[in-house]
Amino acid sequence: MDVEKLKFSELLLNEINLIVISCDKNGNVNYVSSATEKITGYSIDNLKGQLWWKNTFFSKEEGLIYKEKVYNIITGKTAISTIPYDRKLKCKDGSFKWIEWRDSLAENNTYVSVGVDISDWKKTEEIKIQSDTIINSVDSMIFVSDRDGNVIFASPSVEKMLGYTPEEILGDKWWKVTYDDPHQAIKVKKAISNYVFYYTKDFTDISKRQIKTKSGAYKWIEWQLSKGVNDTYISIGTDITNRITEQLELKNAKETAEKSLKVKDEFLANMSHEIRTPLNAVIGFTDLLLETDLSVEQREHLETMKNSGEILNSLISNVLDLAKLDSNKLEIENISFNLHKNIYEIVKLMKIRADEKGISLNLIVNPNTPIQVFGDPTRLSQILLNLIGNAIKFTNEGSVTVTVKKVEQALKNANIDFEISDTGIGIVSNKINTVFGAFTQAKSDTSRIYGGTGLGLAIVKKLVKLLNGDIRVKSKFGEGSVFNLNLPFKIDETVIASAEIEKRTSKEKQLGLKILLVEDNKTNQILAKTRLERWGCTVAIANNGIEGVKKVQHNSYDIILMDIQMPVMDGYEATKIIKNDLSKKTSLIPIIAMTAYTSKSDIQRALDVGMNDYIFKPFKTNDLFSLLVKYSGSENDSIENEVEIAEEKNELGNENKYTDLKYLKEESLNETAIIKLLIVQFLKDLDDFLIVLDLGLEDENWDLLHGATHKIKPSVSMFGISKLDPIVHELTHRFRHKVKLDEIDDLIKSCIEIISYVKVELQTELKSIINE
Amino acid sequence: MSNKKKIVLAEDNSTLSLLLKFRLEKEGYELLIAEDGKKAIELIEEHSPHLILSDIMMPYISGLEVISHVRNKLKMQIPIIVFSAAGQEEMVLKAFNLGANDFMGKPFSPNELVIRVKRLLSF
Repeated sequence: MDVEKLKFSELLLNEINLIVISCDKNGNVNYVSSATEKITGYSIDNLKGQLWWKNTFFSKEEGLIYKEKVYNIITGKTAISTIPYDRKLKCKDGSFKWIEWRDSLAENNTYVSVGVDISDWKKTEEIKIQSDTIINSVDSMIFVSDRDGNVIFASPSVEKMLGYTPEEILGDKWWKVTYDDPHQAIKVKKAISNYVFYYTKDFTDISKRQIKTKSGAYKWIEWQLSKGVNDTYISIGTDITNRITEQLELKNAKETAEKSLKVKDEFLANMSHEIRTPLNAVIGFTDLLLETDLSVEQREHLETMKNSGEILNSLISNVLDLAKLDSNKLEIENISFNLHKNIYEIVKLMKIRADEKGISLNLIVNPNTPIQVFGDPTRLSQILLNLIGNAIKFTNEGSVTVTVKKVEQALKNANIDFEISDTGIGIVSNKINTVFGAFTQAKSDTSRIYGGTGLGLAIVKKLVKLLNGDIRVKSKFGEGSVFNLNLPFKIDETVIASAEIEKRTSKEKQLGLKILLVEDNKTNQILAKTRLERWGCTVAIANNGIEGVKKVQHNSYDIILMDIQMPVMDGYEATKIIKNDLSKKTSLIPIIAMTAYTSKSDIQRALDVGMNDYIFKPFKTNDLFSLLVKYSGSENDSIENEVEIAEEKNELGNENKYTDLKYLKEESLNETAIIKLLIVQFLKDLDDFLIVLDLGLEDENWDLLHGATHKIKPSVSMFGISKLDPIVHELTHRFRHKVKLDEIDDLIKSCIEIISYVKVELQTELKSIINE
Repeated sequence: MSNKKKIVLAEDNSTLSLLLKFRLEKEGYELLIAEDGKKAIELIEEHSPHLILSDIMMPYISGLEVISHVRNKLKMQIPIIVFSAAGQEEMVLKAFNLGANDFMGKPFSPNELVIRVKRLLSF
């Protein structure tokens, strides 16, 4: 070979980045271009001879195979291939480079191989293969479109997703086949172009579009748009039809649920109104009947009727309340009220039910319980009615005991514990956590045996939470349950309990007012009319708002009683007209709303249209009376000064008295002599009782004590000592069965305390009888 | 001797017995009051009443023993009404087994008692 030539080539080869090797006829490398040094990192000396085969290959075997191949070519055993091929070249640092090789056989059978470094190009190609693989394998569709929206490239997934082959949608075809409305297609096309190239966005939603598939169905596709190279844009589309459908379904379901909830609320409100109206009449007429001359038996029956009516009324309120609680519409009051009286009234009401079942209902109020407190008496009553009602319902024999005591007090804030324990069926331990849920009773067949809506405890739980209290239940199946209700109250020190101003019963009072009654329900008309006429009022009746307005125009009235819900014209409208559109004189007539609605917003609306006050139906006689007195103007004083009948005075005082001689007087046919005898006898018995109590406790002679409490019990009932009755009952029970005897100190203390008050009261009574 | 029908009332609560005596005497009966079972038996043996009213739980001799004595020893078939307090239901059953004719649970209405007494004595 011409060395000069080679030298020249060498110069060239140094400049151009080529690997050139030549081999002698033994296959040993005798020339390596200097550029090779740069590419591989090896020095020329480390590449010559045998070293080439050793160093630039990844294994010794591979090197030997190549050397063999070269040798075979040189020796003419195999023909040389002039087609370039790629082979990795190992570098000194262990990395490799992709080299494209071209082999040739020069004169002298010199084997020459020329290699070009193609590593960078290889890399690009790998990436291209990878991205192709990605494009082919992803579920999303990938499009490349030109500036005018013509599709240049579409990934194969188009067919999977939409059914079109890429050819069917290339160019402008895309916009023709996937859009029904060509205008819409143009709009979208323009919007995309603006978004991608000018970064402006209009109101056309380009991120989510409905696309027509080949089958004619539509699919929701979500698009991601980005700018491509050379004035193209890339769109990636994902099928979100399922997501959209789910969202739609969810939205529909939500709307349906909300609608049915609203229907339920309205239904409940209407139902309760419809039930309350006749109930109003039942309770009202019972009230009226109770004021007539009756035998004791008739009176008892009527009182039971009235109580049942009131229980039914509270039940309706319960159902309504749960609806309100569920929609967080219930408002909590914070007013001053007599806690003792409230509890006592509730127990009195429930006593009837307990009597019906032949079980006893006891109330033990610890003397440490504050009397006048701030709170929500209605809600407290509701909670207690529910709990006591349940206890009675699930108790078939034995007793229900309500114990009230103050557990802690910080300044004016007192925590009161109400314990309602029964000897009923109890709750199975695995059901004890579910009793406070709505529509659940401890056992699913419970309702079949015991009835009830299953709402009671759910309401209780929610109310207790609203009142910032807590409620716990302990129970043993078959032995009974104990509910502990803990509620915070603020003590009201401004009111002295004994000075409490009672609303006066009013059956003999004369008001002499001219009253217009606007009411559409005939029964309610008669009820209210009879009631008002007994108070010496003259009553005009209007059947609806319009009649009411007409009557007001032609007559003069002292007070208007206005129903809210009426046909033709409702109470709100009529009030607006009377207060604003007639004469000044009529606008001054007080209007009292009579409503069965009990929400605060209804009341607010009544007051907003100009009504002066409101009363709930069914109304309590006393409430109506005091409202009439309040709005009867100057006649106020004369009424205040009216002399009350002796009997009413007695009833008035009863709330704060320990004894109630009503029963005794009735049963002794009001014969003073026998009453006197009975009182004297009882006073003696009480003294005996106290002595026996003292002795028995000292000796722990429970049988003796049982005899004593048992003996005194009928007298306690006869003298109407309602506060002592449950205590004596509980003591009798404990002495008889010898249970909880280490916890009787409080009971005994209360017992002795009450007896001392009773004795004072009876001695006073005795004196007044003798004086008569 | 008066022709008034006689009733022995055995009751340890004195106010109750006073009240019942008053009410029943209004109705024209003669009431003999015993504050315990022992006294009741003495009165029954001595006066042969037309009807017996008896509390079940009494000191010394219980109402049950009084019934048993009247039916088994004295062989008297006169009506007997017993009074019971709550929780004494099993006692009432025993009383009926021994021969009581009627019972009233305490507290009861004297009116009702008067009606029951009248009915039992009208035969």
